Amino acid sequence: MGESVKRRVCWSWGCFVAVFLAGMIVSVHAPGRSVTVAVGGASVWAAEVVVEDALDLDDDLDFDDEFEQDDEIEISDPLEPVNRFFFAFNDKLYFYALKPVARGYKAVIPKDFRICIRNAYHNLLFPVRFVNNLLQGKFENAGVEASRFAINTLAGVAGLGDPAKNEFGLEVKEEDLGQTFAVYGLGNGIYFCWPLLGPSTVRDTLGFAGDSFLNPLSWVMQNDSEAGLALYTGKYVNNTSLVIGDYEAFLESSFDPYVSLRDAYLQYRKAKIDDVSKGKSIY
Amino acid sequence: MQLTVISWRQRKQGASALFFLIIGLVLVFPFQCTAATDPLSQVKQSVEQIAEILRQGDESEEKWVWKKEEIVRIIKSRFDSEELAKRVLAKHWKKRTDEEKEYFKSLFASVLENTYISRVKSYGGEQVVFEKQIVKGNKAMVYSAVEFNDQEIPINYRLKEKGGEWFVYDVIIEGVSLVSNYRKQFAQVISREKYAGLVFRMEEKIRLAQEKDSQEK
Repeated sequence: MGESVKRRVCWSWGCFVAVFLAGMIVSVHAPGRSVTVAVGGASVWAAEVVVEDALDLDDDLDFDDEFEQDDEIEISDPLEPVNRFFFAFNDKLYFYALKPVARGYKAVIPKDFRICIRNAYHNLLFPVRFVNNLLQGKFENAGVEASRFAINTLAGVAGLGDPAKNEFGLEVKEEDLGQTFAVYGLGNGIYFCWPLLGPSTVRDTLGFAGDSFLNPLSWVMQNDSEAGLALYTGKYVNNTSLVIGDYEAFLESSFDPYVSLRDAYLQYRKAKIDDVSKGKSIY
Repeated sequence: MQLTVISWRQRKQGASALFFLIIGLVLVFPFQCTAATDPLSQVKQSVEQIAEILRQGDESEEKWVWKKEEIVRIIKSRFDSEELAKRVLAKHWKKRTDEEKEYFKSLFASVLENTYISRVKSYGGEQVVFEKQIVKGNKAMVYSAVEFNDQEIPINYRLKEKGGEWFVYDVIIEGVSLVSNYRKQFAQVISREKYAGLVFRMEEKIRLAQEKDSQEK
């Protein structure tokens, strides 16, 4: 067991070093505006990437409304060949492993059960949401998350149900460390498509690594990698079983799935950071 | 004397009642007019019409052909295909001839119809809630959400007004703008394979989607 812990520590340090190097690449790649941010005592370089051939839409077309100014998100993708390789790898993984398993699982377990299991996994990640709400100064939302966790863990039977939302109208306040970094002013850095984990950026990868300290599943993983692996697999199979068909439709409607996913990821993250989809600024 | 006072008062009351009625009508009518032409109710109307068609139980093949035609007709009447085409091509739009523009417009509309219709097909009576709208001049944003597998998915529409009617030119699902996403992809394809390559790919896409649809029958 000591061996496996050592391996995990090694792995996470490897990750950090990789991310650090990536950060260096960013600062070299885009020397325009770079910011230094202290994360856990270490200095990490990230940059607001300025892409040379950004579309000069405003000159060509009348995009005058302020609804749209946020749409154009440019990102530097110097690792595109590697990222495309992992994109293809994840694609194969989905069709040859994840989907068949999730399909079998879907055939056996009723939908309501699967929704409950998804709820329970989501409930477990409460520490991540709570701490990041606090880190962003969203104290009211942190309170909402704490109430949600208390209600759903007790009344919702270990988070299987969501009475907090259904009975008390308490909506999820989804926050993570990647979003917190963005609120602090950290840019995306370069784009990554990780094997298994999928699309990310330097900032979000750092956030993901940091959040893992608050993730009960990764605690389990560190103490007992087999149990951890089983839990993670369960989570992905269960959650995938509820969205079978979405990825297929995405592929069907896109002309360059890699580019489409990259852009969708960035837009989706931006909406989360700005809290525009469910946040206060709109409603 | 007493009587005349009363009757005068009554008359005055009557007059004021009439006055308020007129004021009331003047005030209310414009609101009623805008209620029928505001972007939210127009999008809502189209979405409800589509949901109504899909709710009709009969799932036979012939019925689906008819349903599909009806849905495409409703979508066409609510979407601004010119604005959509312009925005997805962005800087490449200006370089096209009028003929190319026309062809691209119909091509892109067809791509959307053919790739998204199968998604619509799986509609199982999910509740769509229209939450609010923001109108600025001739542009508007309508906010809605659909409940799917116990999760709320926000769907927003960008609209532009033309002659008193509102037309959709972008759909934003969970913060992801459809137009913006296609713009990125098309820019990539054009930079590698020129405009002709993009047209070829679009034609292929439509052909494949139609083949798939006819196989499913």
